Amino acid sequence: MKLIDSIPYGNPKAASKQMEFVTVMVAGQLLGLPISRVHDVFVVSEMTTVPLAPGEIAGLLNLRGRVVTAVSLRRRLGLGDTYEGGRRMAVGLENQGEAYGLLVDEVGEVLKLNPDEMQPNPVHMDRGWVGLSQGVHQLRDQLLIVLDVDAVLAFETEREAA
Amino acid sequence: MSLDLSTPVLIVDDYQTMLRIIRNLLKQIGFNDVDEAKDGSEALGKLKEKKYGLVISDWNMAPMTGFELLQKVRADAELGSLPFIMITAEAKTENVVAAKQAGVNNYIVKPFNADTLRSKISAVFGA
Repeated sequence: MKLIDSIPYGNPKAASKQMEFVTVMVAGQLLGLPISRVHDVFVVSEMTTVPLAPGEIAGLLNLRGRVVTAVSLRRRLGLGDTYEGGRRMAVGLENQGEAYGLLVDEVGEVLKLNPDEMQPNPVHMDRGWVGLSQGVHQLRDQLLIVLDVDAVLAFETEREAA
Repeated sequence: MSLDLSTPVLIVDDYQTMLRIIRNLLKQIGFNDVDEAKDGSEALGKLKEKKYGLVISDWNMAPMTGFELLQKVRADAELGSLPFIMITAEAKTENVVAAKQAGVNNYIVKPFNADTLRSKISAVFGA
């Protein structure tokens, strides 16, 4: 699956400093997750909804006794969940010993990008997104938002603090 | 026996993103000699060119599945005893049994993480 033209603007001499990002698409926006935080990409099969759970939690996946919390990235970004059946893709992450499946619209390729070329979040970026973004990379024809995985999975902490 | 992290590992998956993710997980574990093959045919070619100590292959590939690759490896006089770990999205009992009968050394059901990968590899090498 190729979502984008993977050639970013930048200095080719800086290749040795490059970091890899697993790209995902949500609501037409390209987002990147540091590959060091990603341990799998998988298709979600059966999911159990959790009554009274935070809105970001789409459900629980019970995989041979191992419980994985499915988090909707759409909801986490304040977008509507438009799932209408069919294949659901998830990115496997871990945080503080807990396993999460981050539900996304699509999983793309892995991009190598130079961290020195990451730019601050644009001033017009939605305030809800700013807290979840480490910065952006300008690619040839679109912007890639680098997700802060810890912040994305910190929705319960945020709620407790509110 | 301790895990020999200098063991050359060949990972096989027709999904480039998973190849990169598995490579990164192996790097996190400490393996530094990791090659990739995007399908069974390419894997067989690489296995003939270089002496690997471990193959980690996805099951669901086209045109040659990971299961067919396993069968070909086991049928090969030189590669027959090569440690082989299968990754699959399905935990169907019949698949596990078929893979075991075909000589798989271990079996990883998705989703998995670096700890799972490490423990499965360690189990293969008795480490």
